[in-house]
Amino acid sequence: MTDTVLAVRGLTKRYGNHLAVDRVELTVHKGQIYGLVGRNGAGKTTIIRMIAAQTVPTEGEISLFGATGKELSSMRTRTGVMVEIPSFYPYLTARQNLEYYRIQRGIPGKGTVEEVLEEVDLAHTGKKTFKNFSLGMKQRLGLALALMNRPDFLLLDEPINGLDPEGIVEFRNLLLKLNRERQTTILISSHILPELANLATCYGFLDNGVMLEQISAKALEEKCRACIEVGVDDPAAAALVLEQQLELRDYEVLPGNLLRLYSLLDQPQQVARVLVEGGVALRSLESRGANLEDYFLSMIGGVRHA
Amino acid sequence: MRNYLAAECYKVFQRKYLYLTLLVVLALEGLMLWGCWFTWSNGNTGMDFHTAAITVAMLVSVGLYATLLTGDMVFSEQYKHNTLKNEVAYGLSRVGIYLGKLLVSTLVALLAAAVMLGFYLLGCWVLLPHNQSDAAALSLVGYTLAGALPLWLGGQGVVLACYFLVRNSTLAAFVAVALLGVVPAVLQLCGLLIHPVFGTIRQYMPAVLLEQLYRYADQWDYVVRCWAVGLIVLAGATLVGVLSFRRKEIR
Repeated sequence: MTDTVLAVRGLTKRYGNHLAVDRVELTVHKGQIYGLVGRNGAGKTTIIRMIAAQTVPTEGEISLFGATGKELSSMRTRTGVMVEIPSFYPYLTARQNLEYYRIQRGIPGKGTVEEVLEEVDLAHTGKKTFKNFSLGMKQRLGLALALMNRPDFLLLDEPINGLDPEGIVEFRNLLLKLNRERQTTILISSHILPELANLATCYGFLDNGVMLEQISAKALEEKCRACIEVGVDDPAAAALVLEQQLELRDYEVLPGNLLRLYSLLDQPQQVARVLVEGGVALRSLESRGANLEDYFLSMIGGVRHA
Repeated sequence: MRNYLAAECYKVFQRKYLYLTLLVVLALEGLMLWGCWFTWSNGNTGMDFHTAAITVAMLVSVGLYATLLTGDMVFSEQYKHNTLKNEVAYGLSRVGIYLGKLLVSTLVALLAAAVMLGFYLLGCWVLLPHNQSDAAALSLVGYTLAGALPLWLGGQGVVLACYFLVRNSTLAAFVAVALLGVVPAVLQLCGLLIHPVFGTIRQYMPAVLLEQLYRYADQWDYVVRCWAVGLIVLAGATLVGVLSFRRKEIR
């Protein structure tokens, strides 16, 4: 039994001459919270829309819970989807809208609507119709619809747009609770990278429709760990000097005659002095360390809108 | 499919649209009935059940364009509200969505037609005097309805295909009116200016068949022609609609 919830192979979407998504490979395993990171127009929404059957891929294959082709449709009933701004019938109330979809999807139990409205804090909306909802309320109703069938896999595209700070925290806690208690797998795209960093256990970095890298949160943390990076002519001699003179233990030697020091972070001058006095030719010394945002920006090659 | 049909019915009957439309039409019918009754009660002996009831036979063409309303009630501007994405994302098949809406819009159209016709005929029956021509009037009404029904179904098919294929509902309605009402006029012109074959084709257009229906009273081969044309138009429009909608981008 595979634990792969979503597997995307060679997924491509072309609009005329514009290549929106270019041979993307993506795998999401059971229990993961997968953060899809990319600037505007990177192809995040297009990928999610192809997974959610809203647009037909030009090429490539999508597999949900191991099913592909014609069996894919039946597996979509195990997903909850929220793409861009949630859309409902403007002249119906929150309850009527959800009841409509509950009947359409054959979800048993009339109480389901009440339960899910309570869950997203919309139970008090009464006769207020969807057209009179604030953006935050619309987002909550979108989430309620996505959660109504108790999905095994949640696909969320920019879900926290329009939520106030309190709403963002509640939303994050709800997702973490679903992931922890129901083992709900989540694929989430967001521009708000610090918020994504609070949730994701795995990341996929997209730019211009191309998947640049998929990396676990743990590996990313490792990569982004604060350090002093030293360029020398002889790394072995440099390591020996630092071990003897400064009792350095937490470091690693990288290709290109680089040493990464994870301690002595507040003493770069002392590191430089000891190396020079120990006869090591010092070519460069730099304090490094990054968060998700920095890492993403360095990956796409500079500051652009993330 | 049963769930889908139930949900579409739930949506239509939760809205005021159907009730307001019926209210307006019934009010107009009430006005017409009052006019007939007023004429008769002021001594016009020519006004009786027969005279008032056969108006139905002459107005069946209106039913073809009324499908614009029933189609709109069910399709509910889904492109404008972007609600189709909620349906396809859950794995509902696009063919199922299309046929589900077609079935429900047909059901709503039949229900609305039954209420409107029932109200008018019952009003005529109760308010106006009867004589030996009652049976002839009922026979004519029955005959025209038997011929009009398949043509209305064909019209409903064309209207729904337009709503599914054209993102803007107003434009979709214009395209539907053009296909149902303007094309026969164009064919007539082409028949006169280019070749008589266009005139022959025009004779098989639903709007033209409906216009001529009461003139062919009790010619049941004409009704058979109406059924053949209505079902072909319905099947053709549905086929085009389904095939195009299967790959349509849902926003």
